[in-house]
Amino acid sequence: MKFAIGDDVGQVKVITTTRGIDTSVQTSARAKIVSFLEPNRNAAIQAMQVLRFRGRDGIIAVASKGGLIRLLDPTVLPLAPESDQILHTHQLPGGTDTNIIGLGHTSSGILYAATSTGHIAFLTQFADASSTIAVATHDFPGGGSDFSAVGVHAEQHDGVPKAVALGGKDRDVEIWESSVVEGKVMWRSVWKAKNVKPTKLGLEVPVWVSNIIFLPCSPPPPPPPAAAVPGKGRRHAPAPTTTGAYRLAVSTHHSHLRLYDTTVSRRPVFTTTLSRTPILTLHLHPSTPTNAAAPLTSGKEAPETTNTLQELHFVYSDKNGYFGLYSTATRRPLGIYKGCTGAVLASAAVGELVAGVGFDRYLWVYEGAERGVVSRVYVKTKGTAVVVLDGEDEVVVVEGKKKDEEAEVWDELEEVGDGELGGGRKMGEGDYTEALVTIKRKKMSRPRAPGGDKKRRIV
Amino acid sequence: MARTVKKTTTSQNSSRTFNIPNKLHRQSHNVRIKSALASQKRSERFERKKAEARDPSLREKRIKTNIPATIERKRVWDERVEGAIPGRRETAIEAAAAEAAASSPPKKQKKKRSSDDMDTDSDADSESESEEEDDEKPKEPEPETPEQIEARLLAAREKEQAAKADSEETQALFPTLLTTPAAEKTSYPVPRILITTSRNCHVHQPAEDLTMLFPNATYIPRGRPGTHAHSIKEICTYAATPTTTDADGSPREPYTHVLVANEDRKILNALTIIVLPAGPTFHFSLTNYTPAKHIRGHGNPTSHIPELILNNFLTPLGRVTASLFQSMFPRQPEIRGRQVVTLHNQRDFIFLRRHRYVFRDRREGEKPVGYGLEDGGKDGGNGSNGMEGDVKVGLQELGPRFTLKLRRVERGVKDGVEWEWKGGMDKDRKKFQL
Repeated sequence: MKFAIGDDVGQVKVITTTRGIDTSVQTSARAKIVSFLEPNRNAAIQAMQVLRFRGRDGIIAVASKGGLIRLLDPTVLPLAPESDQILHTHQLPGGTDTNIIGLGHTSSGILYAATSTGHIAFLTQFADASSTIAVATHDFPGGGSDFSAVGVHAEQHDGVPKAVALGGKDRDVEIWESSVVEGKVMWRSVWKAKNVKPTKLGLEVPVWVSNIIFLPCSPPPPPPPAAAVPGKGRRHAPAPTTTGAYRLAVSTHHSHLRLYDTTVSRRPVFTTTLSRTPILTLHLHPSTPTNAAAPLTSGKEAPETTNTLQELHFVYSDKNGYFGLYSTATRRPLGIYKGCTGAVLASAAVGELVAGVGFDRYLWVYEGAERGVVSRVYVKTKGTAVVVLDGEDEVVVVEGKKKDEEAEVWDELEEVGDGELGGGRKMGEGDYTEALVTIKRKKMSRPRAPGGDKKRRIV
Repeated sequence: MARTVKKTTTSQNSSRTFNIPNKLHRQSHNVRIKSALASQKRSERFERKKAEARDPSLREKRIKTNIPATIERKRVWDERVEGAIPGRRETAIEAAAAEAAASSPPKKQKKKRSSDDMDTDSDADSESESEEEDDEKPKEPEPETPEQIEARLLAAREKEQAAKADSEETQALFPTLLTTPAAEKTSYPVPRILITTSRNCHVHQPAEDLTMLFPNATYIPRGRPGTHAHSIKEICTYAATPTTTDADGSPREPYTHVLVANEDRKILNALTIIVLPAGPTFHFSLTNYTPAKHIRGHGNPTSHIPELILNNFLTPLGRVTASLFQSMFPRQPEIRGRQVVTLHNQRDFIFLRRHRYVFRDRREGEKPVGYGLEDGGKDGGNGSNGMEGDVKVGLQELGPRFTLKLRRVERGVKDGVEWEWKGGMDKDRKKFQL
């Protein structure tokens, strides 16, 4: 297994480990750690992503504080000059205090990087060696406040994704759709989330989005006649401005997990409070089957109490050091990824593995569904980003020993069958080794009961 | 010759203690056994002393082999501690055994590295080490393969990178520990500490004492609820970005630390230290607070900047904690004051003491400086030869004294837990966090 982590002093560490390695045990095997990039306290790594660049897989895109995006080749040893290790750089606008709120790679081949000021850069045509990299940028209006989360839709046209969702402090999730007018990309706000209803005491629920994920969603069906709308109330009235249908999973700094369906309402169709502290990371567990056509909830219950019809499992971590798995179908946590002693600042869920790094200076690798620890590696620094480069263990192929010449001679000899011997014996002459050898297994002795024999009591 | 006393046990099978029915007889029997054992032990000790006076090598040998099995010495291997854990019993015993084996010439011993000393990440180093040869003629070392050279260079680079990362992390956390002053300033930042108390605190003296302990510290009583109630976050904002001016009209310097002394029933019980302007926040529980006036023979402190001794902070968390205290004292101590503040970490408890020292002549009958501190000595050894001449150091405690235990480290100003003490951490008594 191979992982890359970014830390708070600007280093990238590539860690090669195998199942069973726990470096906190003295007798355990050691993982191989190679550090890239010079330590710099002002350029902490804030996000990382794996992508295919110029025909080569496993290139790491690294976004650090200050808005610098670097594409790093982890196969080049750090002994080589830095120009050989870094294949491409892109500087986002803003000063040294620019914070990266998202760096991702969509399935349609777009690398995007977003800053807290609302600037997003979309890089395309980098996978093939022949084409030149195209960069499209757009500044989304922040309205005086910073964004803290970004989500990008997987579909694209003309080098930009179909839709982008942004959210921040006191700024609920908003979706912008792209359209091309006369060869020029235009962005239009099509949907804006509405805050949940006030609490029983009539207090407003604070808004501070921390993560946004686009869930799979099929195009909306033709609107049914008004009388046929199931349920009651305005919750089911479709939002008029959207041209597409979107589903979002959103976590907040006030520890909410919310699911939105733009075809149903502007308010969340599902909301719950996961813990008491801000949610830092949120992932949809890779093994979760998602049905884009089926509705998320029945719509008969309030979002605060309803369950989802689909089994959606979310991997999340909070600021208090909780790292676990949550099911929206049962509205219950499925279990925790045990062991971390500090908050998990970044996590990755790929295939059957879930990896987390954070304040306790360890890389934790877990079985996704079983939640058992697969590997644990001490990395010396506080990890702020993690990606999985290779989720499989290296299998050592042992070449079979060549048979010696004598064995070959024996193999060449023909076996004499029973029929040739005659005499009515069932077994003819030949190798009876298997029949003669009986396997004796030593019986395991029972472990003695602790405390020794019963002692005589003096009354 | 001492009497030989049969060692008794408290086992139910062999001891008479459990077979004596009369309570008074049983008690006197136990007292007899106890005193017999004590006198036996005492006479053994006197005899040993006499024998060692005749032959000092016996004492050296005993000290080397008889290492007390304290919890600190039995500290378990910890990958977070760079290199070996100092003063480990296993390591000392192995070293003594190796020395004994080396002194017996005929049998050749293979060089054995202590498992504790193994640097986990320098695999390349261990690979490149050639083992001792059996032949009398030492063979020339085989030339390294390109892979070995590469591995060695990589290991060296990793080590260098880790040292740089460590330094960068410390400087990022504690601005007063910057190794190079910021571009706009020519001098290093000097720590300025704002001391306040918990809400509704009516005891001011301990906080006043703390202003005497930390240089450049000011005590500002916590505002009363209603008129001047401020949260810790608000206090930190005001302290980091002052808008007022001094009496002479110059703008106020920002504070570098906020220290909140928490009291319960008029006794200090916790300290919260916040590094300004952007954290981190440290929470310590505080026990055994003894003000200076309760210390017998205490001296009075002067306003000189003290020297600082930070002892036994080994893990990354321990080093961050040590850096916190380092960042609270100005870098250049005033040696003239002969004052020293000691923060000694032992079993995750941090003992704070303040002393004044003086160098004086050795009096007759006094042991020389460094007695017992020779390598392998009962106090672990500090590289001295145990006989440092006729100068002694006199100490006078200034106070206050107290014990701290780290409970929580938060990122920023009370903004998310980085590390928190949990009861389960003390389950294995031989594993420590600092």
